[in-house]
Amino acid sequence: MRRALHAEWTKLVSVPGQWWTLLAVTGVMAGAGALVAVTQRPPTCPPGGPGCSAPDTTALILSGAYLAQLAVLAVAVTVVSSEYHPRVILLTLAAQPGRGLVLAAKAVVGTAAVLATALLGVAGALVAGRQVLLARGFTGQGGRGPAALSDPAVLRAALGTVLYLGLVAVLSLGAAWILRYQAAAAGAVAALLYGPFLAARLIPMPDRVMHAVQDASPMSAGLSVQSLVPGAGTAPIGPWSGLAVLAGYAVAALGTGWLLLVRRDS
Amino acid sequence: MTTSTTSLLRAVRAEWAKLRSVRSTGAALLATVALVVLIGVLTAEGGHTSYGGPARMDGFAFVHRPAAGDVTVTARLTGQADSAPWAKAGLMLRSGTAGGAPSVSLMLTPGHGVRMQARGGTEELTGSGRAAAPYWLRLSRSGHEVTGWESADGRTWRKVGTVPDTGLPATAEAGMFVASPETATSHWAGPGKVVGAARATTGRAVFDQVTATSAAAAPAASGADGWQLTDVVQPPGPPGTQPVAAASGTLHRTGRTFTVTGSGDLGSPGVGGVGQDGQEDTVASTLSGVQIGLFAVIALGVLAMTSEYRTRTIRTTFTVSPHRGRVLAAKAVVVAAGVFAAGLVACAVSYVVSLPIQRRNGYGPPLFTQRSLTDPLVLRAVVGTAAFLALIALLSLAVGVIVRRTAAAVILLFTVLVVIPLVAQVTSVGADLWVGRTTPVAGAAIRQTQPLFENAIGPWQGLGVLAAYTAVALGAAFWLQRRRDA
Repeated sequence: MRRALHAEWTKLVSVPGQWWTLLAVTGVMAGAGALVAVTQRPPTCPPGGPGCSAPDTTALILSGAYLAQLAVLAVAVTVVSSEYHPRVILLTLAAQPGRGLVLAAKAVVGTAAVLATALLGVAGALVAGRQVLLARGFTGQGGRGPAALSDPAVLRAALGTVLYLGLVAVLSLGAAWILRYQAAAAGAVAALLYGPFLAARLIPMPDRVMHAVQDASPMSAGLSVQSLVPGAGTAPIGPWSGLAVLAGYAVAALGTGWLLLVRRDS
Repeated sequence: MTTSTTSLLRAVRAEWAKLRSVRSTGAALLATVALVVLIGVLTAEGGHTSYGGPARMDGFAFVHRPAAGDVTVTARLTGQADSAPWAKAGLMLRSGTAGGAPSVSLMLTPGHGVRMQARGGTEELTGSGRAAAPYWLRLSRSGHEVTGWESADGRTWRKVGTVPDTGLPATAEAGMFVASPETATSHWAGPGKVVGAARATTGRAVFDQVTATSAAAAPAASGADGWQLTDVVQPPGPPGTQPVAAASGTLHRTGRTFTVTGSGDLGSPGVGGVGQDGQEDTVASTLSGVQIGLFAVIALGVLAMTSEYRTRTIRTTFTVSPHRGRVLAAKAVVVAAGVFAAGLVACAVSYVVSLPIQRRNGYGPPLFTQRSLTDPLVLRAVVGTAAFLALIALLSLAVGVIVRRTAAAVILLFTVLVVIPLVAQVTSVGADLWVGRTTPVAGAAIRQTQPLFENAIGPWQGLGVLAAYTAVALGAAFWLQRRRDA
């Protein structure tokens, strides 16, 4: 296993494109957090007044995840699909005949790299976003200031966002093992993530149906971990159960990928 | 035919053959049509509307006196405050002063010219559309028949219309009225959340040269000459949304000049502007599927170029047709034409199929005009949206040339066209409007047919923004392709 991990690590770090994309995960998370904070204006209505709910500032400055997940997806898909174009996979499997081991090593290396960069990005977004919000006049009166970084709810949202990006990486790895082509896998994962999310926003439907769609779709359910204000998140599902829905998709994809890798000609 | 046009034609034919023979092209075009139609139909299915107000609006300030038998009322409206586009001021014959009584009225509105209402406000006759105060109005009764007249100078009169069976009693109340409906205002309650609120308005109008002559002898007037002010009270509507409380009317009189203020409205759903405030854009909503149909168009446009790079067919292509600009031009023509044709089918089908569904869900007459596909406004939206998809395909083709790798180009386009607008939409109102005005998605505005509060940009300006981006990208693609190795 150590040899396999080392091999996959070398493959990952020796491609400059992958480095840049991983850097983009951190940069986009932190940059989008600061940029979104710049566009916010503190509410002018009296606190607790009718129709005057304080914005969920934590979820807002973590909304870089909508963008950063595309970079995550690109990294994870490339880790697998670069084996097929050209077909280096034959060499890889000759050197490391345990197919499950290859899959596991790629999953560990790819996910770990994404988790590390996502952690940096989320930390950057929280710190930068908080500074910008304070400078924009979001002060502590009436719960309108950004929540303290030590607040357990903020930590949950931050850690949840890191895990969310890690799970998107697992999902993308699985899809890439299934589809092999880079563009097809990236397109399929992007469609799975954004398709139901956009559809629930775009198509008018009864609340019951919309909530069912949101609870069942990986992006809406997974991102509900960012919400600190009840009822204002992307899905009505609870934060950790939402992340579990995404984990379900990710495990199913990787499992199918493993089955196909073991059964199929490479 | 010159040689260059012949070779361009040949290149177009070659590109057409390539595009047609690739399975993914057909799949992408089919997916575009299917997504646009499916989402259009789902949107129409999910959207419901119903008019919740009273069946007849009949509340206003009425300055009146009894008039026996055949009577002619004439007045000059010397001024009308523009309190609402459908504010109403004019003359009325009425069986009594209770709300909901039979009446005939002739009125001037700030935004919709001269109107005449009869049969409890369910029938409307339209007079001069551009009339504005000062303006003359006249109602003359003959038995059960009432005729409305209008004039700009009080000398030459034009007939607005005749109502044959008015149901007025022998002695009716005749006089002037002023009404001004509630107006809907919209504001942002947060990213993506538009909230509407109703606000009462007060209309004000000045009448002079008022005459009300009866053929029969006028009854003895009480007071000076019998004019009195009554607030005609709106009868309660169905439970639920009730009209906003309005100020009661006032009358200020100096000699023969009457200054009247009043709130309320006259008419019925679809007549006199009742229920037509802040309508939804029913045409644009049938075409909202292009926001997702976009995915397939991006893939098609990018693959048209990058598939040649991946399989290295590009070398063969350039060997056969060494003029690189011509190859790209031929590809652009073929891709744009194919996507435009598929988009046209998708948008037209989506509109035609959604129309009866919308009608069933309440989006029909009298409140909503249903327009046929050949209506100029609908044509602009449908053809324009197909052009929007074609421009997106060209932009994708150009990005494919510049980036050369499928996945990178698709992710770049997807970020710009889908994800950035999405992030802006969920985070900030200002950012959402800014993105809707300045990035390529502004082109989606071409499907709008109504000026709504939440629109970021006008239809043509939006398409212009997208066209500019596409032109720049195509220019860069031509330049790069000429300079780079294949």
